[in-house]
Parts: sequence; C-alpha cells; structure tokens
Amino acid sequence: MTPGRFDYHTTDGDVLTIRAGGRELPAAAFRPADPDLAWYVVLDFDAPDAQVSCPVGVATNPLLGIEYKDSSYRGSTWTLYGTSGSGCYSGVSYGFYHISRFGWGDTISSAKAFSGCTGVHHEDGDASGSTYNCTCSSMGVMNDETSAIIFR
Amino acid sequence: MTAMALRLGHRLLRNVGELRWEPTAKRVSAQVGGRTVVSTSRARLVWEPGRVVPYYAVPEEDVDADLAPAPDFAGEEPGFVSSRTGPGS
Repeated sequence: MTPGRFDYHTTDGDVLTIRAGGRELPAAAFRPADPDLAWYVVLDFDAPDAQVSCPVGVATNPLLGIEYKDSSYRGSTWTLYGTSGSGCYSGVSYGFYHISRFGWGDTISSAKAFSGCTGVHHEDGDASGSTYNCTCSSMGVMNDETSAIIFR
Repeated sequence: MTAMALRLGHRLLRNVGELRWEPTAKRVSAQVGGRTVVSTSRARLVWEPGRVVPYYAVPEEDVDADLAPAPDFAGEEPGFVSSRTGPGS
C-alpha cells in the first residue's frame, strides 16, 4: 500500500466514501477516470476491518453463501460451498434443491452470498415457488420459508 | 553484438510516470462492519503515476456497498491523515 493519505491521487478520478454495515469510510475508494479502468474502483485496504488476497487456485470449493437461522446475520450458520469452479462468474450456477436434507428447511432468516453469486431462495423444493434474492439481513415474507437455494 | 536480457523491473520503472495496471490471479475480499463488501477474482493491480507500490482495484459491480462522493479534503497537504471511522474505532 502506498504510504500517505489515500485521497491524494496522482491521476484523475473521483474519491469515494464506502458505506456498509453501518459504517462510513470517507475517501476509502477511488474511481479512476482512465477508460482502461472503467467500472473499476481502487480500494484503500487500510480502511476495511478485514481484508484478504489469496491465490484463486486455492478456492477449488468456492464459498457461495452463509445462511443464518436468525435475522441480522445472527444465530446458527450454514456455510455453502460449490463442488468445483470459482463461483458464479461467467454464468455458472450451483443448486441446493432440498435443503431440508441438511436440516435447514424453513429455518433461514438472513443470508449472505459470495463469489459473484446471487442467492436465490425458493419457497418450495426443486427450486420452485416464490423466490427471494438475498444477501439480506431479513427475508420478509420468506422468513423461515426457504426450501431450496440456487446460487447464480 | 551480445544481446542483453531484460530485467522486467527496470522496464516497469521506466514507465513510472504513467498509470499502469495488471490483472492479478488472486481472490480479493474485504469486510466492513462484519459484512463482506468485496469478493472478486477479477481484481487488478494499479500503479498510479509516480508510484511504485500498487493498489488493488476491483470491479465496481463486485462491491456490495454504497459508494458516494467523499468529503472534499482540498487544501490539506499530502501526508495529512484525516480522522475517519476505521479499523479499531
């Protein structure tokens, strides 16, 4: 990390504040104006409270999601991995069609998705019925109703 | 005439005045307030002009957080450390 103030940049762009998890990190990101870096943001890795970089090849079982029995990411957790690949990039999807087999049917109240995935929570098995796309701290009418999850 | 092998670091430093980037074969993740806000395998290393140590840049669509314009720190001297909500606070 370049020492010094992160909002002092030597190229054109916009200094950004990151807001997440009830926290606000002023000037923790930077959006360069250069067209080769369009849609990218540069991060001040001194700002988040946890960060990691590791070889992609290590992730032979990509982390797909963490399911929580209670809202606001509390209670017992169930961590879901894919059997192969690196996640949901390039249209890859992963299905858990009957989560009652794992003792998690109709118990999920909040969830997080990772590895480029959206966690689509289905009310009924075989990925049918109503759906709720969730990285979310509460699941509304789908609280304790999930029977299948598709990460895509 | 004998050909000389190129030391790559010297070539990189020759362009130190330019904005440079390179894909990285690493997964980059970060958390804020207990929440994962970045998890990507599409990060890039970015060297700003005049700098020899890179930053990580990540696709904006892989950032699960609000990104808003930062307060204007104009007028402060480089090296000033502004107070902010950060690790350990």
